[in-house]
Amino acid sequence: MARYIVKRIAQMIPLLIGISIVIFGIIQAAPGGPEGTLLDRGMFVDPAAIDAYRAKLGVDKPLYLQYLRWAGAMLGGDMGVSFQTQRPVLDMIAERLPDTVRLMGISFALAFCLAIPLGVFSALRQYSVFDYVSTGLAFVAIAMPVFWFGLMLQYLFSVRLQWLPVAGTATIGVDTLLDKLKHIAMPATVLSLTYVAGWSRYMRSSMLVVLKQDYIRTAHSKGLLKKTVIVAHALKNAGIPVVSVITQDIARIFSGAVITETIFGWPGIGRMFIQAMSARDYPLLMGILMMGSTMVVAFNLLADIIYGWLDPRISFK
Amino acid sequence: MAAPIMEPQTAEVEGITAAQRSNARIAWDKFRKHKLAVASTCLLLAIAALCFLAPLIAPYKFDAIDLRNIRRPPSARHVFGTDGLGRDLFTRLLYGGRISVTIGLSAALLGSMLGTLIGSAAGYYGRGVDNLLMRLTDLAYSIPTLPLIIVISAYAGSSIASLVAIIGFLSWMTTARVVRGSILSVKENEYVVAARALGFGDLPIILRHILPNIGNSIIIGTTLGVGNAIILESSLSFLGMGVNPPTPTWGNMLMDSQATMATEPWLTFFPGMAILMTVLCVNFIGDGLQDALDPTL
Amino acid sequence: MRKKTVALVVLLMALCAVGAVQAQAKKILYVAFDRENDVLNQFTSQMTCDIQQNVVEGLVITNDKNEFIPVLAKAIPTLENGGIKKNADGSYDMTWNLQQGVRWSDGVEFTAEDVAFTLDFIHNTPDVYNQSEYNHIVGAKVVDKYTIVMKWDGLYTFYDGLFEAILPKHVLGKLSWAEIAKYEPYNRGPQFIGTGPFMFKEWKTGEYIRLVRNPNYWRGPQYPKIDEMVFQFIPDQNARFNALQSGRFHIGQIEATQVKNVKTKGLGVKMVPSNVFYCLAFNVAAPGGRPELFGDARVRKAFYYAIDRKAIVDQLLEGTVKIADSPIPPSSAYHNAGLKAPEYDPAKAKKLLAEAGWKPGKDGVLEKDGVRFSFKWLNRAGRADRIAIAQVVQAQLREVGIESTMSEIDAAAWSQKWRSFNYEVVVNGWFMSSDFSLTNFYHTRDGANGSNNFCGFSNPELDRIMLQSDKDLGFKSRKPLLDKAQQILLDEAYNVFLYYRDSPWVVSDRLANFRGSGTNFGNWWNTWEWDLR
Repeated sequence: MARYIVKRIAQMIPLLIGISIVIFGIIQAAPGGPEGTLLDRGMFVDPAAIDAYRAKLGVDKPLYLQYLRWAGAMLGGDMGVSFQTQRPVLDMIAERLPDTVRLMGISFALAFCLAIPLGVFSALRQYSVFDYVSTGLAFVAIAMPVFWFGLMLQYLFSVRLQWLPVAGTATIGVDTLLDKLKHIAMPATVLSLTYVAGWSRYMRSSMLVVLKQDYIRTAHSKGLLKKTVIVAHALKNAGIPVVSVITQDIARIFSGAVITETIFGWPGIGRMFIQAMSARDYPLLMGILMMGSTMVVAFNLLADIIYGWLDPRISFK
Repeated sequence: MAAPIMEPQTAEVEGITAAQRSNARIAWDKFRKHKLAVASTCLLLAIAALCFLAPLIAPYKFDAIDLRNIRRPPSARHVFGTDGLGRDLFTRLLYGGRISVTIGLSAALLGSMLGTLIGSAAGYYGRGVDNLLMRLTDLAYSIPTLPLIIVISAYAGSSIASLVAIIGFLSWMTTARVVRGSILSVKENEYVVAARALGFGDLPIILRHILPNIGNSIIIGTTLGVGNAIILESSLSFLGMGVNPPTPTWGNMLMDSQATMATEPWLTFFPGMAILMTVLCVNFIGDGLQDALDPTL
Repeated sequence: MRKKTVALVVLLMALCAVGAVQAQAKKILYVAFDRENDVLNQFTSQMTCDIQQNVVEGLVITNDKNEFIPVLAKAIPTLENGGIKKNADGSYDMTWNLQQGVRWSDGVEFTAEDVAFTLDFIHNTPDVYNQSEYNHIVGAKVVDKYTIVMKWDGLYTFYDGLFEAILPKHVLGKLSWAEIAKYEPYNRGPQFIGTGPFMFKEWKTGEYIRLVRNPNYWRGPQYPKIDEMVFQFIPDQNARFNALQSGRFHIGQIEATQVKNVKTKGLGVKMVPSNVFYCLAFNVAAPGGRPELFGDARVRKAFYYAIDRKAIVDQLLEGTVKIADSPIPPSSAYHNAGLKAPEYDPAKAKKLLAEAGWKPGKDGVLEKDGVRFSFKWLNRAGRADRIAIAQVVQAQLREVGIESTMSEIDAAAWSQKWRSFNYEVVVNGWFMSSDFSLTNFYHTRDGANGSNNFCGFSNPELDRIMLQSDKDLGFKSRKPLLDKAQQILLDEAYNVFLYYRDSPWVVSDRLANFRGSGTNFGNWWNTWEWDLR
């Protein structure tokens, strides 16, 4: 296993280089350039100023040169300077990382704690009232657009009841846990709900399969306590599809919460990405996307490691 | 089990066709027993029929703008009310369903099929094939949706077929990972190992011994995919890639209702319910299929 | 001993009471703001600079009446007051007398050197969006600490709209021009200093910018009356509306369709007229244009008859805006009130189109020489208001036999296509500068003139009148020129003017002295006298 992990990590480097070329090509192929923001104000803009701006940013150079310049700096640990803010991309990402991780972390934890039991009990009591209710709710959650749910919560808890603030991570000048919880409550709820819906469905379905397997039936007939059977055998065996889905969702930590972050004015990386895209801020885009890709690659490796733990028969060479 | 070893080729072919015929009958009987699944099938067919017969049923034209009747609540003249441009919401819901149901079902199926194909090949063959296909998945997962859509919308027109293709190609990776992960485990089961030892071909083993075990996950992936595809279509149109106005889809009707959902809730409620009904139907049909394909029942 | 203790306790209590009163009296203005800035430096920012107006002052600013008023200048130099003098070589000397005793918020005195430095920076930074205007200043001489004379190569109406901000030489003077553009302490604080009523305090990325009262503000110790301003970034319009409705914010911009839904007690809506007009723009130039459709003025004029602008304004936009017949809004004295665009009359539209040779074909769509009257809209994704207008106009045009289809693309791609004449018809909006020069938008686009006329038309008479009006500083002589130009624009119908956009602002009843301003400098020109009651 250790050798396998080392091999996979070694593979990451050419893979990430390949990914970076593809990503660079795609974001550059999108029409429009960084001067778009200036034009978007609707005011007169001197065409000479636009040319000067493009020259200053170096986007007037051939694509391969731009890529090589970016890649060269990247090898030296320099992610470049954002077009919009003229600040190092690394600083901008680092600044938003804690808030992003906090929101996503709480949402993932919440979703995990709800989805797994929900899926397991639904499977154990297939076609019971509990099963139908949780199925129904899961699908309401899926059919309900994130923006709609978020704005509705705001309307209820901020406008009507005035319990919770609409936007931000904390009240200025207040540094208490309660205040932070008040700010994160709605975005975390909105975000975790979609994950709960998906994850619990996967959990339920793979539990159903495992529960019907011979060895579970055998264990059951041997008179082992039902609870033990489930925990010891079924859950572990049913875990593989769920692990696949959860690791994939966690890998999208930087892009999975765009709408939630926008609606709740949360300073997340997803929102920064959207803004960078509309401003065609290529260095910032590359920075965020490459971090995202690294997460994807790393979490898929993690998933493979977890597979081996859940089912020791799986071996990678 | 002596015969297959001596004459693997013919026995296999005959065995499968005969078995398939009877399996299909058994499966259908099992499916029929799942009342909710049958009811859902009927409802989904009814929704689809209503939508595709929209030109005959709809009381108005879907793009008949009436600025003097903007955002009117449901009434006798407009059973579901009117939208921000005074268009009849019921009419638009029917027309919108044609696109949304088509895109939802076909894109989800396409995504699942692609994912299943890639995931099972990777999981079953393992080693080099697995590594190659999974690194491809990593790459596909790393491609940012938003810029990709902007690129495609700039250089290619948007038709229903291209939307289905794009959504399908954007959503196969999770299924692929799930299928591959499960197969890695399932293929170590004794009966699979035995079947291989007996010289069965790869395809029959995958079809008969492996897919039934992971069918559940694929079905879940597909049902979740239907809802996602319908919503994703609306985000695409938000980026200029989706269906252009004034043609309605459930997704863009929902998007348009954003600004007024607190004050004129029917604008959000009806398209939302339409999506919910469709997704729920697909889910229960999926449940029925799971039962139908379950060999232990 | 006991007496001392008692005295101490009393003193402490008094101090606490004072502290409590002070804490209670702290006036914090919460702004629900729609966007986050890129950099604070107003000259290198790609965005409109509302927040900065509270910290950095310029020589001039615009008020609620669309006039330029002096801020750090004692008066705006004019020919009448002798501030502008013609030289023998045809150039002009413009003398700015500055306010005395103004200090940067770090205590250093503001002088004419700062103005000269700012000019230098602009001259050496070619990506400042309106550098071309500053380039007409060919020299500057600091006479004394409070006087600077600028030499212009001619007279231009935009001269008093420049220098909306002044850079602090004592902070940036040691850096090269390129370094200033990248200088983070100024771009993001804490060295973002100005002479204005507020001082930069904190910028929490993605969340808010916080300004605090400048205790040494030059207008006097009683100003500003507000202690703090917090600009919270809430990009989503619905969330911003919820935020305002929740009562936690005092001011913020909303959408026209939301106006009638503002119901929270203590909040009111103020319609701020703005220098923004919306129009349909036809592309009559290659490569993407359709001269065969829109090349004929009768066809363009027929659009006025075919489009029910009154219904768009009264119904779709719920009466929150005014119909536009020209680019210059009624809030300006240069608005030509005598203009009257043709009113909605589909029969007349058909007649006019028939005169131009467009006759209904088999399916009812107009045809001429085998060409169908069918065109494509290029919509900017995410701009719901404009897409709604395009749909309404599309339906109305169908009634007169004109067919159109929609296409949509993201904002950056949109502006590139538009700028490279790669479109057929757009719904567009322009933000006019307060000198109301039309040249920038309607002059023939040729090598010499970098106008933003992306429609591809050319009218030599209009060009001549507009250029003449740009050099005419006298209201009485300039007015007839601009009136004539507006008349030509309407007659030729290069754009179909739709409406002037008034911006709805939700304002708390507690906020006093908010007067608004529809210019690109925004509402923040008089925050020194704002008060929270």
